[in-house]
Amino acid sequence: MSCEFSKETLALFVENDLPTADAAKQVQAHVSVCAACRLYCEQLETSQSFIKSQFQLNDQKPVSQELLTDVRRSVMSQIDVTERSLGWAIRFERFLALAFRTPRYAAAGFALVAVVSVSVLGQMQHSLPKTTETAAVFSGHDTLSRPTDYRDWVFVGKWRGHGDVSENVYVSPDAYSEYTHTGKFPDGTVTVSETLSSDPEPAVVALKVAVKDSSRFNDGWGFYDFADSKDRLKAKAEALPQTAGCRSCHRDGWLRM
Amino acid sequence: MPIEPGPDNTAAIDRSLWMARLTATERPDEIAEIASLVQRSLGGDAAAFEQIIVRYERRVFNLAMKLLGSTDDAQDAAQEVFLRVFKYIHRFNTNKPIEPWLMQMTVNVCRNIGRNRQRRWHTFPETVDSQMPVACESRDPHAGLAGEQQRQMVWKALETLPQKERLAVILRDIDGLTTAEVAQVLGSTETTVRSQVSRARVRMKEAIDAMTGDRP
Repeated sequence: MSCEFSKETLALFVENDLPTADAAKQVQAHVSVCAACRLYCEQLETSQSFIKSQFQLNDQKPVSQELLTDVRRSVMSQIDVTERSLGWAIRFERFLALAFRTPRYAAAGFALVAVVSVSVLGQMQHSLPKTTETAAVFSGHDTLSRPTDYRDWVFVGKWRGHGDVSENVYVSPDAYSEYTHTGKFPDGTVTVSETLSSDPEPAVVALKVAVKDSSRFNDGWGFYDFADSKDRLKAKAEALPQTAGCRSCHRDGWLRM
Repeated sequence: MPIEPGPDNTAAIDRSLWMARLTATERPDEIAEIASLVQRSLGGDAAAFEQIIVRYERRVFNLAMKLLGSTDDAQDAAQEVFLRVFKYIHRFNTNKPIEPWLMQMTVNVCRNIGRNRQRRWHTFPETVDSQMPVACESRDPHAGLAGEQQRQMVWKALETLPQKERLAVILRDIDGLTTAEVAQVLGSTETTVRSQVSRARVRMKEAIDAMTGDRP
């Protein structure tokens, strides 16, 4: 619409809401000669009637005091329960509001406490021994399921063995991250050493796994060999005994981590 | 001074009594009184909180009744409003009038009750007859549902508005207050209210046209 009166002015006009009688007369004079504005006014009136009709009561009786008293009594009877069900955050906000007497200062106090808490918790987290979500899946005390997705983990390195045998080593990602920060492997660490051979064809011929779990293993680490007697890989393996050769090699190095 | 609940009042007397307390000279006193009641409520004074309810229960209920059209739902809404007031009263800025906060809360609560009612009717259509708003002229459940759908259409249109415009147009066009009364309730000016209401009406029309397919 490009008339001299805006849609908003017409929206006031149709409801007799213009500030002065003169303003209303001017709009009325224009609407009587402008078909577009007249049409828009009719559409507005239809819209307003529709809106109001959804909320108008056919028989609007004044509300009785008895009904209001019932509502008030119901609210007051639930106040005690409501207060007991308030969460600690709301209780703390109310305490601050009472102490500071202004919501703004109470909000500032709450924000300050939140910042200090986050800072303290952050510091505490760094000093606590970290436990990473383990990639190891156990059944029973120390029967481990063979990891299958280790090739998506952090690739540590490759060793060439005799002939066409090579060895790839992987570490679970969270554990690697913790190790790079602290120099210690956390509980839940899983390392996988897969032995590959290309004779007669490329294949994983051995899979050895080490898991750090202080709750299961005396010195924190459990070692597993998933190769069976026919050089096939088992789906599950039990932890190797304390006398297994792995420990003698890793005792003074890796096991200390 | 505590306000005792009075006898039955007609709607006209009700409004004049209510509005009479909100003249320009009395308003600062009203704000100070509410501030005192709020602080005492926070300190555990249940009687102080009850005074807040007594002052505004009729106002809240009347608006809820207009928005929901059902006495039962309006009762539930009023109850929910004051329970929320109790829970969040510490967040209320006592330097400002409490009516806008109460009216906004009433609108939000009524919106939720309206939504739940529509969901309930779709799931349990046999409950339509007993819970139909009195605004519906037909007692036919299908007409009732269609009427509720139209009401929800208006609610959806209201939700397209900024909060201040929504509250202003609800008080003016649905609650039936004059522009001057709306300005008093919102602690605003008549010029601002006219601006908000006019924009709201234009947007509501456009939103409803879009929903019904009556695009210009």
